[in-house]
Amino acid sequence: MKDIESIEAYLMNRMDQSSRDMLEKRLSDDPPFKALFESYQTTFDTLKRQWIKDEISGVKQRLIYRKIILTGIIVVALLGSIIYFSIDLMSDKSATLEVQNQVPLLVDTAEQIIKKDIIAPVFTPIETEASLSYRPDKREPYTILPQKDSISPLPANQDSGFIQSFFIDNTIDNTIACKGGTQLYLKANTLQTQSGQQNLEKVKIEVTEFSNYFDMWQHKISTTSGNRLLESGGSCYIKATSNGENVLLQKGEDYTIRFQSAYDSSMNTFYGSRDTLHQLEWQQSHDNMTNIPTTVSLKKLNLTIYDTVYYLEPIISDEGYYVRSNSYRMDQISGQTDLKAIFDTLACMPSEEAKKLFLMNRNLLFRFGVNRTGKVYGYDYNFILPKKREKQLKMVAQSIVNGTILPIENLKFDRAIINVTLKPLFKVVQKDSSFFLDSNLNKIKDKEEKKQVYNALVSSTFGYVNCDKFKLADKFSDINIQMPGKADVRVFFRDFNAVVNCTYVNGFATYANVPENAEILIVTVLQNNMMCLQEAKVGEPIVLADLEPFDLLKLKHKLMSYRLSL
Amino acid sequence: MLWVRKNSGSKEDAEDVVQEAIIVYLKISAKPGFHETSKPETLLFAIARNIWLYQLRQNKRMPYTDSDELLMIAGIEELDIIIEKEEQLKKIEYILNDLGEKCRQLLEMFYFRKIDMKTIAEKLEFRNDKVAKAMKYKCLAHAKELIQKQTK
Repeated sequence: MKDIESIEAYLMNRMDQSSRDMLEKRLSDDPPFKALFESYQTTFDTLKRQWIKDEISGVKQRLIYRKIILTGIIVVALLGSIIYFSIDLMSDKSATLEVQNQVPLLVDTAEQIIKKDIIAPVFTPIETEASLSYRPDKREPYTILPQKDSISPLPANQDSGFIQSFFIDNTIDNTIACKGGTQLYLKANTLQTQSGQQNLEKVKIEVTEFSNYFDMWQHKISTTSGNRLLESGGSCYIKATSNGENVLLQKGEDYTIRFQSAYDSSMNTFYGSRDTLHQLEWQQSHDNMTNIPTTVSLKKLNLTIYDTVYYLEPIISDEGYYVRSNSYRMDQISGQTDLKAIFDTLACMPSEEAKKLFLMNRNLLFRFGVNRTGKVYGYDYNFILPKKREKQLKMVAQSIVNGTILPIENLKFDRAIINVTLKPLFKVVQKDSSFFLDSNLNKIKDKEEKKQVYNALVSSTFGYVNCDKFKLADKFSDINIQMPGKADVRVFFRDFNAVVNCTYVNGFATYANVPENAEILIVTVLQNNMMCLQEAKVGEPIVLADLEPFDLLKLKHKLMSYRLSL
Repeated sequence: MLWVRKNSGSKEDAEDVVQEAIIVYLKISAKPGFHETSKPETLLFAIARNIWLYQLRQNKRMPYTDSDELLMIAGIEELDIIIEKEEQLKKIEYILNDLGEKCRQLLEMFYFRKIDMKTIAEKLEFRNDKVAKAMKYKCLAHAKELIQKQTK
């Protein structure tokens, strides 16, 4: 009984500081007492919750009565009767509790939030013409039109961060490994300058990879050839120079590009060129260049077990980090937003099996525990980041800690891998997931070294190079998006890697002959700094929905989460 | 609340979220050492927003149409834990209906309205304050038992 009394005094804030300190110390030293304390705390919280709810509904009711009576008073006053009733329904003589006085004020504030759509100052949008268009109370028919006929390309400085530069000596064989996983194999003495100089010892190779939908959006990359839709297995832009002079391949020579996509024998080499409107068009190589498989060894996975936390630790090979074919490379993206993109994608996965596969394919192993109410209570993260980005690593780590419901238990930087172990909210630790059965863990432990086969193209020219195939489907249909005027409208496909730029015809942004019922993301950007991100299906009527101010990070988040990597 | 409604929520969702936000606000503000660093409506909005994001995440009603970061509120680092806890309590609160009216009144008067035992004994017609006090412990134990049964 004494214990219960002290718990009661603690929970009711009726304890002096020294007694509080003593009780808190006992909580950490005495597990049975802690269990008793927690059971009473839950009981108190539940009781308190119900009382507060009763109080809120009581106050709301009183507010309604007050409004009715006040309306009556105004009506009476208008009729010329000077009657004044002193009504103070808000005062409650029996109110002695510490929260009761706050409830009417809070309910009143909350009522305002609900009724008048008051948004707290931190989120108040700037009242521009643009922002008004998505305020329901001030919404008007959409009439904002782009000022120019076409959207100008993005500012040049947006491109600069994506170009990777390498210096090679062409008198020897070279392998160039790019951040996004693309690799170039250049044989010795195969290059020459435009003026014919050979045996080049210093050649600058610049590579721009289009490894995901955001890259493709940024660089206005589409995947079409002669009005036919292409499915891409990877693309990039390559430029070679020596002392400022353009460098070409010698006649009859070629080089190999390996993309970070699983081998598909139907893929072929396509070369791209931009027209005067900056639109990219791909042409299949006339040299009959073929896609050849290249094999890369994947090292055996190490399984490290830390008490109840399991994760896979990749071994760094000479070629980089290879655990699975599609390691989720954080250097392509910004930390926090894209980690959330993973969560979003994860949340949309149809089954636990799909989740596991998704995570394993990205070298992300999460552990999900489930508490008694069926809620997920804990996660473990393990993902790869390049070591040189230590600042970013720390930021990502911090965002994980801040962005979850869980306190951090252990955070360490181990080589280029960030290992974060989060303590479960509850003490219950269930290893009920079949994935964590010893037999399955042993399977991973004993896994043999594997080989991964990638698409690799042979190319005889630099510039835009794409590993593509024509998209086949049972039935084709058209995309027609009702538009108030011309805009930059690009359509991204969910189930395969393809992007099209729509053209504006008679009030519609349109593109013909794409697979019917394919799921698409329509990205519309208008000249007046507005954008619209809309999901739809090919074949169904599409009307441009809510517009919002252009937000590059949001756009990136959306594109990255729509299809994480190509 | 526009924000909830803009993010896949109905009017009822918005009202429910605001009610939950008030509960969380009151619990936070009752904690020792709580210093209000912003206006109540700002804090209420931030709490409501976090609750809705939490519910979206739980119900897998993705994606959000706004930035999906949970708001960090200065000085209230454990907000997400409180929200998670409240969401769990929400599921079990109904079982207190089995407590009995007299027990509920007794506990409410003592713990919530902080009325002294003597007055409670008079109002609820107990023989004296000692009987009321003994009854209070019985009721509390009963409530604890009901909740434990539910959460096991």
